[in-house]
Formats: sequence, structure tokens, C-alpha cells
Amino acid sequence: MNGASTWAWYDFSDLSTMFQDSAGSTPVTAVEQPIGRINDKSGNGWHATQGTAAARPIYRVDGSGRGYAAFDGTDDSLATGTITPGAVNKAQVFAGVRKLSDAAIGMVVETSNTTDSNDGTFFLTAPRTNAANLGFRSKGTVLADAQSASAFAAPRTDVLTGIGDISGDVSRLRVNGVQAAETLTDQGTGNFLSYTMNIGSRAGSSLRFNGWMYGLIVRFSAANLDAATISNAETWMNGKTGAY
Amino acid sequence: MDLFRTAIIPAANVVFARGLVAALSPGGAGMFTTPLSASGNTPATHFISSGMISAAIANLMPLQTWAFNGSWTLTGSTPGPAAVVHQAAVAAGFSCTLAEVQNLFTAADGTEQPPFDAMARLGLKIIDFQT
Repeated sequence: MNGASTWAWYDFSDLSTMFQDSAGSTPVTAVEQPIGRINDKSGNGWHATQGTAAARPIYRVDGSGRGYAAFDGTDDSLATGTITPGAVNKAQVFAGVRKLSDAAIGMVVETSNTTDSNDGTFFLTAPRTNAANLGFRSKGTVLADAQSASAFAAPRTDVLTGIGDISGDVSRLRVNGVQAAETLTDQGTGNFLSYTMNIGSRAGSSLRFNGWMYGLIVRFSAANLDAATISNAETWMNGKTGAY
Repeated sequence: MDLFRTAIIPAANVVFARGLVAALSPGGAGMFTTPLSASGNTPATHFISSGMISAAIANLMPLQTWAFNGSWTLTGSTPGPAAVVHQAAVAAGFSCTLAEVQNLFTAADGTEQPPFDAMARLGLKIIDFQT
């Protein structure tokens, strides 16, 4: 993440960063334990928590030995405190996920309580609608949805990359290192703004992700990442995910 | 120690249930926020909460077991200790009657089933929102 303005990094295979309670007093030590808190490994302190016991994702390990957080698609989610991107209008999101269902929109990560009405936001979804697709949204004052074709039927494991550039009018979704959707319509004006970041749901109350999350990196910056750095980040995330 | 539970309650009981579980445990605040209905559209007829909860709280809830052999059959039912829960809630400052707790326990569907299995058994879907 060389050159990042600011970023957050969650690694659901790193037991040293996860706790069963939101206060961070009881570490996750074994599978089937709830994740009430995961610490941000970036050093920026944007830890994600869940105060409601039954709404915590569960730590599990897949058949290849990779640790992940299981979101039940019913009520599980995590949320950070207010993340402050700074005066920048570009964002990159990398997520290693396995979506288990295409029955309803699954919010992997969204800044603010809804991108529908809040400016300076993004989201990454799996699926994007109740269909076999994926999506990324970048928004200044006008939203730009990049929605894949319905060619990604659950269950499937992917490294998803979202590229948002408000001033450059880019909203791009990459799947396993390959561009899957792009929208170049006007995103209006402004920067990515300071909000809570919701992981696995919209605002902890709807659009819940039904699947596994291996890792998540969110970066806000003044400059776009070059292609090689994006590829390197995807390769790193794939090492955590085993998607391709 | 935590135990896995799925609880589905009628919408008519949700305000009381939210207050009760929040009084019994700090980790209970925020439960029963996911709306359900038979069609997947509003209005909500039920609410669900599913996940790992402390054994101390799980053991205060009613628990049913079901078997599927072409159709669902109730194979076991442990009523929640309503009197104990009522006393604990009142001690925690939550104003309620024993009858209200008993009414909730009678109406609640509490199991160890995965949430989508429990919803399917009851013919319920999560209300589908769009964006």
C-alpha cells in the first residue's frame, strides 16, 4: 500500500487481531467463536466492532486452512467508528469473499449508512441485485454503479476490487484480477467523506452479506494506484482467499 | 462459553422482546432488527436474531428441536424459565409482568437451526430491500 493517503486493513485469518467481544478483552482463539471486534492492521485505529452478541460473524477455517469470518446473511455485521479519508477523491477496495447466495443484495462494505443519500461514499456488493452478479458503487454527489453481468453465480469465491475516482469519473469492478464492470458517468463533485464504515450490511440493519470474508483493505488517496500495485494487492488478497 | 441460537418472534412481540434481551445482557441490545414476512415484502410479521450468544442467556430461552422427514416434526421442546427471566428482568430495571414473559416465550420460535432453515420451516423470508 505504498503511497497511501490513508487506509484500513482487516485480516480475518489473523487471530491476534480478533476478539469475541466488542471491547477487545476476550481473544478469538478457535473456530466457531464470534468476532465482536477486529483490529485495523493499518495502524490507523479503525477497528470494526459489533456490540450485539448474536449479530457477530463467526470465525471459521475453510478446507484449505484459510481463516475467514462467516456472515450469516441474517443479522451479522461489523462497523467502524468514523473514518476520515482526508481531502481526497479516490478510493480502492480489495476484498476476499465467498458469496453463498444470490437471493438478495449482499453488502460487503459500504461507507456511511447508505450511499443512496450520502455523498462522498462507495459500496462493494456480492451480489449486486438478487441475481448472479457483483457490484461496486462510487459516488461524489452523483452515484455511478458498476454492475457485472450475471455470470458470477453463488456459491463462488472471489477477490473483488473496487476502484472509485470521483473527479476522474471512474467506478470500476475487478474480479480475480480482471475487469468485470466499469461505469464512467459523471460522479459530480467532492471528496470521499468521513463516515462509519459498515462491513457485511447496510447500517447494521439491511442488505446483509451471506458469505465468507477472508480479508478487506480500503484505501483513500489523492492519486490512483498504478496497475502493478493493484495487481500486487489482488495477489496478496488471493493468498488469503484462494480464489484463483 | 457461547451457544448458537436462532430466535424468531412475531412482530407483535418485538418491542417487548428487544427491551427484555437488552435488560438481561448488554450483548442483547440490538437483537431482533431483521424483519421477515411470508412474501419477503413489508409489512413485517416476524423478526429474527441468529448467532452465538452466551450460554447463560441461551439457557434462559425456550428451545425447540425439529426433524425433517418430508415435513417438519417437533421432536423436543424446553420451555424457557419464564419466572426466572421475569425476576432477572425486573432486577435489571426492566418493567414487565410474568404474563408478558410467558406470552413472549409461547410465541417465540427458538432453535439451534441455521437461520435460513428456521425461516424456511416457518415459511418466512427476509424482507428484501433494494439500492
